[in-house]
Amino acid sequence: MTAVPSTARKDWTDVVSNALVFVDTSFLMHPRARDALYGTDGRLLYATKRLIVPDSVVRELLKKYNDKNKSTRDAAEMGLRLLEDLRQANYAVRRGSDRDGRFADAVILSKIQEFWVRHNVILLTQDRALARDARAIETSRSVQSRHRIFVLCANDSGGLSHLKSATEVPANAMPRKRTFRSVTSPVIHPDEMIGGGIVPGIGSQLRSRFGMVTLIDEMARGGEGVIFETDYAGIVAKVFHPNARTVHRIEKIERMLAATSSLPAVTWPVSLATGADNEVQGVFLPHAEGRKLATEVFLPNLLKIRHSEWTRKDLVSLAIQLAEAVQYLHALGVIVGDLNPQNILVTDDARLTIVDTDSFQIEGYTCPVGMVTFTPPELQGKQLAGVLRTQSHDAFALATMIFMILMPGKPPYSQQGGGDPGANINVGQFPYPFGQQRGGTNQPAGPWRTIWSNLPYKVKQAFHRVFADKQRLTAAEWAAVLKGYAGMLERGHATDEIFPMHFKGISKEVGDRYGLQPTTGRLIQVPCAECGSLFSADETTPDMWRFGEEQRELCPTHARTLGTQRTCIDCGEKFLFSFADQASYKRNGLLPPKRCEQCRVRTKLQCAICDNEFRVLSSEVERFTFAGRTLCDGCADTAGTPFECAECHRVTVYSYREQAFHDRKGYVAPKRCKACRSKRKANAVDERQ
Amino acid sequence: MATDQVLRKQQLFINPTARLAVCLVLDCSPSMSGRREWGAAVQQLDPSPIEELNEGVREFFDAIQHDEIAAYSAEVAIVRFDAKAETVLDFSSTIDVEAPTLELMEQGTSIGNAVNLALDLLEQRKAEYKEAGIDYYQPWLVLMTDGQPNDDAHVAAAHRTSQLLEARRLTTFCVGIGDGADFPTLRTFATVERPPLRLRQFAFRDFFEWLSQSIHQVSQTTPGEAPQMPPTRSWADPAGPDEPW
Repeated sequence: MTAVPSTARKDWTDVVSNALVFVDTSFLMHPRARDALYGTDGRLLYATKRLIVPDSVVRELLKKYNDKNKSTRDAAEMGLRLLEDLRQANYAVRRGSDRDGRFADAVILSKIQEFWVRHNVILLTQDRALARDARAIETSRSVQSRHRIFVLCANDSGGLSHLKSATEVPANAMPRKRTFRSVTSPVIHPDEMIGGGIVPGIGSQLRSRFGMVTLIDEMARGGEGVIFETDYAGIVAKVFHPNARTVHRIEKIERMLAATSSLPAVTWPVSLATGADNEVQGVFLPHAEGRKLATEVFLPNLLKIRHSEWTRKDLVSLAIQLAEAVQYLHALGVIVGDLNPQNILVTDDARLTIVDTDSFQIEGYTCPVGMVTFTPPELQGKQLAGVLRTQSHDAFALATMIFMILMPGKPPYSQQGGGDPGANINVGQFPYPFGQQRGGTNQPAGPWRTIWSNLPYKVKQAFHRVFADKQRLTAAEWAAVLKGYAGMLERGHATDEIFPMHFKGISKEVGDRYGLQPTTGRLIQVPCAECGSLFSADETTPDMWRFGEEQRELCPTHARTLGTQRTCIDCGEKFLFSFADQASYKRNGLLPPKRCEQCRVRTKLQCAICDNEFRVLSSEVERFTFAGRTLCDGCADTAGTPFECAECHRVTVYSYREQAFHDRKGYVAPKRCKACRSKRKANAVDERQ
Repeated sequence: MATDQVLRKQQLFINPTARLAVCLVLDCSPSMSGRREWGAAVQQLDPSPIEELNEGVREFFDAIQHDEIAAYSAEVAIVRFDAKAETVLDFSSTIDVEAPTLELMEQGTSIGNAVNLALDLLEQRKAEYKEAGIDYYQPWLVLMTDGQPNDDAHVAAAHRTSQLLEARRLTTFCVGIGDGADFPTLRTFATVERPPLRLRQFAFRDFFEWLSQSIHQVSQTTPGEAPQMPPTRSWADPAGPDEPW
């Protein structure tokens, strides 16, 4: 859109007449900033008295005016000229002093927070991260106001547009105010249930720090409490079950209330909820839109139905939002503890929120629960109550969660021959291949191997580091890896399909390096005629996957287990000549095998005379054994016992092969040499004739 | 392989949820008709226990199908028995299965044959999960009977069951119906922590509602802890021989 107020120009005038307009450095440095302010769109701002330029923005401009980079210098100079013109016209005013914070963004945000209660606020900026943080003030609802916050930017056609919020956490949105201590042991004072009071229900009134709030309707029921809609817009109440209403829990929430979280992706508590008898009954939290990750993403059937328009970009965006939320919480000194797909909500436009924040581990107040699938091996089978969780434990849960977002719902250690989710984690066998580490043959059946095949190298590497090499990546490292993936999707370097139909092809280089058959044609997904599982097949080489007289399509597993029967000429047993083998024999121009696999096995023998090693069929070992000694063919013919011929008196060798032959036939040892024997034999034949 | 079978396999593979196989082993001998003859006097319960049982099973399927997580996790098979045992419903994804209606069978109560058949079905399903690389929780066996075993097959079956129970490869829920239920025998199919309970006056529907809630809990279990089962008081007879779970 170009003209901002195209929707309702008249309403817009009303908005502006009560508005404070803040101008940011990035806006002033935009090449079309002047046109945006003086053009048609800019006139719509005239109803405001003046534009407010924080002192820190001016200082930032002056600093950039001395920047090494010429284009930055030029833009800053242009901004300063514009600012000067605006001040000459008495349209802009410089506010604040050099005592203000060094960062213009932080100053602007705190000013917005301050004035928004009484005024509409318009922020002119090109910085999407700042836009997001400014809007977060409006949505966080820790302060209530009937006023609005607008974020506008100069566009390339010299007009004003609404600026889209950034999706990443900028470094300066990290909490600056208060972080939680890191502790070395859980709190030790005993935890007690707080008895008394009537458990509130629909219609009950509870006191908050912003007045009395009425519970309107039950929204959800969990293990620790019931969530109620309230008459206070944007605020829900979590009323604890009597057994979850404990001293520790309330002390923990009080600590959380002393800090602030400005990240909309986390529903930070806004107030305790107390009943008529001054007993704490629950906590007020910002309302979060969306439904559980457990159903929206982790159940592929529902994912396909409910979010048919989503692509892999949306999944990666969810993963990034999650990694950044955890990064943010870790920077704050908070451990999530029970990171699980029931506590994460996603909206139809793929925004993500972590809810159930009162189960976080805050300082020594631990998180007593968790789900098996997201629990690291070192905590499997242990009682979690009283265990101080660490960032490393969260990192395992985060990696698992990211894996299950990208491979919708499939846990990383899920595999053939596996079973119990906890046992799979304990064994710690990661079934997917990476680089030269060929994975096992136990990858689960279904679309998972195809998805894995299409993940970018760096994502596979990150998963392998965590699940095969047992390292932990920080939330920030995950965010970086995932942003790389998002970039590849944006540029079209990775498939945007959630369930890709094809494996990533094997290029000639990769094929040569790893000894694999390179892909020559398009890869298609074919269902195996035997088991129905889809496998990828190269369109141009049907002889690799279509077998037998019936030309049945078989997956690699069944191509190896089905075939024709042959009879072994050695042992007489029937043996399988699998379709895969038939194809490979044919390709290599070989005749079908005569012997079964056992009989085909060759044994390594060593000649007792010349020490040469040679291999023979197992069935033929006996042929090379002479009087208990193993001899090669050459030595069996040439070596033996010397003797003198009775006729010609020459000394010749009675070879071991001859000895063995004569033994077998039951002949006595010859008296004459071979030559004389042949002569006698020939003479005897002549005489008979 | 026929196309619909291929599709079924696809459905099995594409669902990544860890499965919980639940085998219902249900006594369908004539005593479940609710008809009692005392000499000339005939007493007929209305609705009859078998009708209540069918209604309970129907509501059980309904509850699971309406719980998105449970629908993709729970897989239900049903074995009914008299002196023989037969499979009424084999394991498959619960989402597209209709609850079968159980009909009365002949005389006899072969708990042994029934449990053996159920354990065979569970073993086979586990093998299928393993082959496909699907995660699963250790399966559940629900045994409901109102009579005494009429053969000795239950001794061997109980031995097989207790071996699985000891290895934590199986969880059993044994429920006795009415006064005729043989609790000493049922106890041989159960653990000390979860002994057989007596059903309160044909409260089948309450039992199956409890069962569907319990299934829901399994996927949310914290490691190192037993699944948090809802209290059994909705269906268990407080005057039963054992302490409730």
